[in-house]
Amino acid sequence: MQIEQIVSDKVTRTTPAERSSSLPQDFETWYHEYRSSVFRYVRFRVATREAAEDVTSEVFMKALRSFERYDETRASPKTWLLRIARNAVTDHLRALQRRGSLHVSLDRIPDLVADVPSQEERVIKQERIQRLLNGSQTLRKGDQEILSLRYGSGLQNAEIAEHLGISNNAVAVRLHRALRRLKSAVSDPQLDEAQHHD
Amino acid sequence: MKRSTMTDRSFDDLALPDDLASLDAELRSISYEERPSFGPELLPQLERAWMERHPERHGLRRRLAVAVVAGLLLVGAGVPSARASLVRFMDGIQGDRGKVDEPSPTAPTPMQLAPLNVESPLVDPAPETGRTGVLLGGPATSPTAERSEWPAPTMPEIAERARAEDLIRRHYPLALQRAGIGGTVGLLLWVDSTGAVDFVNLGRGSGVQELDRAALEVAPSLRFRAASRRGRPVGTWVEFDVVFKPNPEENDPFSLPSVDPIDLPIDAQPFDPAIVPEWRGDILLPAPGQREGSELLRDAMGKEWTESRLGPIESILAGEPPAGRAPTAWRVEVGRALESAVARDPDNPAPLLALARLRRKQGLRTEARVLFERGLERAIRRGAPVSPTLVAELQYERGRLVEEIWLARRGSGRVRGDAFSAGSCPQARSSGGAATGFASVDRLIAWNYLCPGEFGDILDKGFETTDVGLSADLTVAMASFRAAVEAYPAHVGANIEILLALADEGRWTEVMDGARRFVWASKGHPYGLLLGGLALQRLGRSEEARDQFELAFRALSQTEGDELRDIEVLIAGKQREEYLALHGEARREWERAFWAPLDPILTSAVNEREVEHTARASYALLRFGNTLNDAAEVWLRYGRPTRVRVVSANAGVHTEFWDYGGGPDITFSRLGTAGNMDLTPEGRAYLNDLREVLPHRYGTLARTVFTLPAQLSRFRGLEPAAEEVEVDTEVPALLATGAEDTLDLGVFLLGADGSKISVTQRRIRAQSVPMSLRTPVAPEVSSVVVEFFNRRTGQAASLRDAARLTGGEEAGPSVSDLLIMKSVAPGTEPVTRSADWVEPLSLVRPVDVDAVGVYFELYDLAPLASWYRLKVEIVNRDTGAVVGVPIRPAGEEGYRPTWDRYPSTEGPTVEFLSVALTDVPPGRHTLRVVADVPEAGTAVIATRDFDRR
Repeated sequence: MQIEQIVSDKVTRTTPAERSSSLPQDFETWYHEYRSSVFRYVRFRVATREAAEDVTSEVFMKALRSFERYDETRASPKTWLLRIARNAVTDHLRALQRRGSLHVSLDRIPDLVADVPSQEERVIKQERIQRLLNGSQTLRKGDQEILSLRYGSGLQNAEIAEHLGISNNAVAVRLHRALRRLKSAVSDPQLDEAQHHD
Repeated sequence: MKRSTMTDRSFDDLALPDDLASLDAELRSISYEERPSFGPELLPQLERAWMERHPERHGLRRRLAVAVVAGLLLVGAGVPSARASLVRFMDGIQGDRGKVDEPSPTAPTPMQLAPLNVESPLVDPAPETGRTGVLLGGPATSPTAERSEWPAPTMPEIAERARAEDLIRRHYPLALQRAGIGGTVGLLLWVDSTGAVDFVNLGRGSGVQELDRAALEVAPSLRFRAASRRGRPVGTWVEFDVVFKPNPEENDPFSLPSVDPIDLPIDAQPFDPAIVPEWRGDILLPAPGQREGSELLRDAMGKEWTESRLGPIESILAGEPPAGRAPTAWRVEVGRALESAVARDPDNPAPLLALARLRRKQGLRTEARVLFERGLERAIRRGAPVSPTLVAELQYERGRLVEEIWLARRGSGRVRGDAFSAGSCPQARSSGGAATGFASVDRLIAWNYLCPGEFGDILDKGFETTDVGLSADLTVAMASFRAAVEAYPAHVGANIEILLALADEGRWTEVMDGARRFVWASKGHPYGLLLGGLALQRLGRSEEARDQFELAFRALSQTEGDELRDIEVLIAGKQREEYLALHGEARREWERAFWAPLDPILTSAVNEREVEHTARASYALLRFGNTLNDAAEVWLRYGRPTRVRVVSANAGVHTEFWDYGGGPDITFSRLGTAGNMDLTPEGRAYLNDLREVLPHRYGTLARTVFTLPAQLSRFRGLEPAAEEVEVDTEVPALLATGAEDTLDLGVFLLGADGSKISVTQRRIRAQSVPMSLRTPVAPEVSSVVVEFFNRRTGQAASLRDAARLTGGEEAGPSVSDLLIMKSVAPGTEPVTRSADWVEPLSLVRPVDVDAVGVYFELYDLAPLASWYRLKVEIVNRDTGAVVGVPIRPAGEEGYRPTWDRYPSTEGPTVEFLSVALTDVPPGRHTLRVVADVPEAGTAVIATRDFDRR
């Protein structure tokens, strides 16, 4: 009985080569190349890793559904995926807002990592990170967007420009302003009680 | 866990002012951990979604193949050969499919790695080249499918093989190693693209559950070099064998050797009183190698030794000056003589042993260790005219020297000063040590006793251990003791040290086995019996432990036996004076009277508390040298601390903090490597205070006593001064192990001095069935005990309560206990406790019905009062809130908040109330019946706790 279970596991789970073949090759390549970018972008804007996984799954499901309509002359695959991600995050946040559960608590961020040596520094760093993320959620939507593209997805300015359909210069200016506003938001003592508002 | 760190990403530089630049850098340093299996999990979901939309793209052949695979799974999955063909078949499908679809660039492929063999111990690490993976199939291996510009795919390889082997070896259960049991465990691992193991499945068990479990436990800690496709690391499933291979050689520093002469016959009962102990008399026999050592030493010293000049040769060998000689001058003189003896007869180990002992007494530990080792080297040289007993003695001495260093430093560390900033303790003013960044001992002690709660947190956060790297010392020491025991299995010191070290690790089965061998080899050495008894007590086998101790007492000297039984530290004041004035049998009698009321499980054939005391005393005697020092006192009173931390000051003074969970730690100070420990003055004061509150504590994990939930109700009996107790209970879930198991049910009626006046015992099935136990209680009975006891597991549930109604003797109205039962409408039948419709609740579980019945009896109302008023209140035990609830007495119609009632003119007034609980929320409550008797100017009240769901 046990062996049966294991063998079936093995066949269904150890042969991703078989299952991957059924997806369009381009799509699967994008999936492997851009999944991390999409996940990080999403993770920067939602409260928990679990939510980020849900939204990321939704992004790829949506992308797969409209795969045949994708037009490479209009946007790179990465930009296309991130655009879907932006809408998915907006939907997710709206749904949460309706349920009134946007509060982000510190104990729910074990996946946030900073490469610092000691446990204590790590804890301090995590608190700081959470403060930054809470702060970023009090910003206007445009600021959040550009910050997540840069610090979540790690996009180059040119890629951000392409994504937002603005010039490189405008990206730099917007980032500058968004950072300025984030800085003032995180020095706001009221922040701990701050709730998200779009 | 896989981490996407910022090294994966590069950022454009922004021209930012400094304040924003630092924010930018901070944000860039944020990264996320993506679950390693998230990507691989999502992929099949996408595939399914795609196939649902485009079924036409997948041909008949493929569907057929899937069907065949499914068939194979159902039919042949359990058969190894079928599994092999399954793999080959999969290979075929995949190869074929490779022609239809492009291969996936990152598709992981099932792989099989060569097994990781771990012997115990690892004698010869296998060369790296011995591990080649075998690729079973998949498109990535097909030359037509692989694009030429991509590097060949690689499979995961075990990284840091030595570490992996070490890990596995550490998980290899010791008992199995010893028994020579090994096996191969086939695992199926998901090795992610960072090389970490994320999922572990058992592929093929070894047939030995413990080995399978060990392999499953160790697998997540293994590290691999990840598989790669097109030069990129990818996650993949891997078949991986972990091979546990027993080796007769032991590699565990604690392990005791299996030496033929001390292996027991299979049917031997080593603790049988008939065969042990032959041992009688003085424990301090000459060390085993002493006589032979004396002869060798005399030879080596030749003419240089005369008894008149240097004293007896035994004194020289022991390093102790004879009586009447000035120690320092004697050591200098003997030292010189021994040095020249060593020079004259370099192959003779005896002068080296003597000189090493002398040097150790002089405090020259490093030199002493070198000398012991040189002596050992001489003694074990081939053909050396030295018996194993002398070798054992040298090994033991060397081991002690190293062990002392380990014992002195284990658990040591320091407390960071900044850890104090989180807490506040205004009473503790000392802030010493601020300059060093670490708290001074004074400060620690002040916080410990003044603000123990805060101090516990500070220690948890701020204690940094400095005893790293000490395990090597322990290994050396244990190896020496082991060698000593191998050379001479009855060596007392070496056996004791090994057994104590095992005991400190909580390895009680091994202590028991080791003690058995030692007792056997030494023909019943009482110290072995004591350690055997300690182990048995820790294993919950208190009856056997008591037998061990009894045997040991027969072999021990009177003084030592008395010392082990002594209970002076458990008592205080007048009691103590009385006890100390007694001797011999009178003292034994007093001890028996002391222990009798403390017996935690009356049903068992032994007083566990008393045995526990002897067990603690045995450890204290052997670890602390005697049972009369401060450390032994604390040990005897409260047992082993949950944790010991040691903080050292500059002058070599170590302060030990013994943590017992609640309250302050108990603090000791000791000097250097000296074994003597004294309570610090604060510790002594605290311990004296504790004498009033908690003179001693039983606490043993092996035999546990739970509180038995039950309704214990007391009623006045028919005879004058006689009473009746009713206990309604059932076997609690913890003990309800099933109909095959049995429990001992015991009901004990005890006198004021704890003596058993009446004992009723039954064997019952270990099932939860409600039961009512009733017994008349004679006037001399003061308490009642009801127990369920499982002999197999040693667990018990016990209820102890006073057997008599309080206030029964006073004049005026009084009331029995309340008996809560199922709510019924008794109709017009007279209410009695023995009526058929009476169904008491055990209250083991919360009450979940909307009404309960309450039975009680009122006494001595009639001449005083012609009526009384009844009401029932429910008190919330958490909030204290009180609500009145509607009631209906038997024979009445409808519920009302109060009822006026008339007392019975003959005998007690019996009441049965139906109590409505509809408005009582879930929680912990007390049901309170109040009978107001205005004519007597009083009210009688009875209560019963219950929980509501």
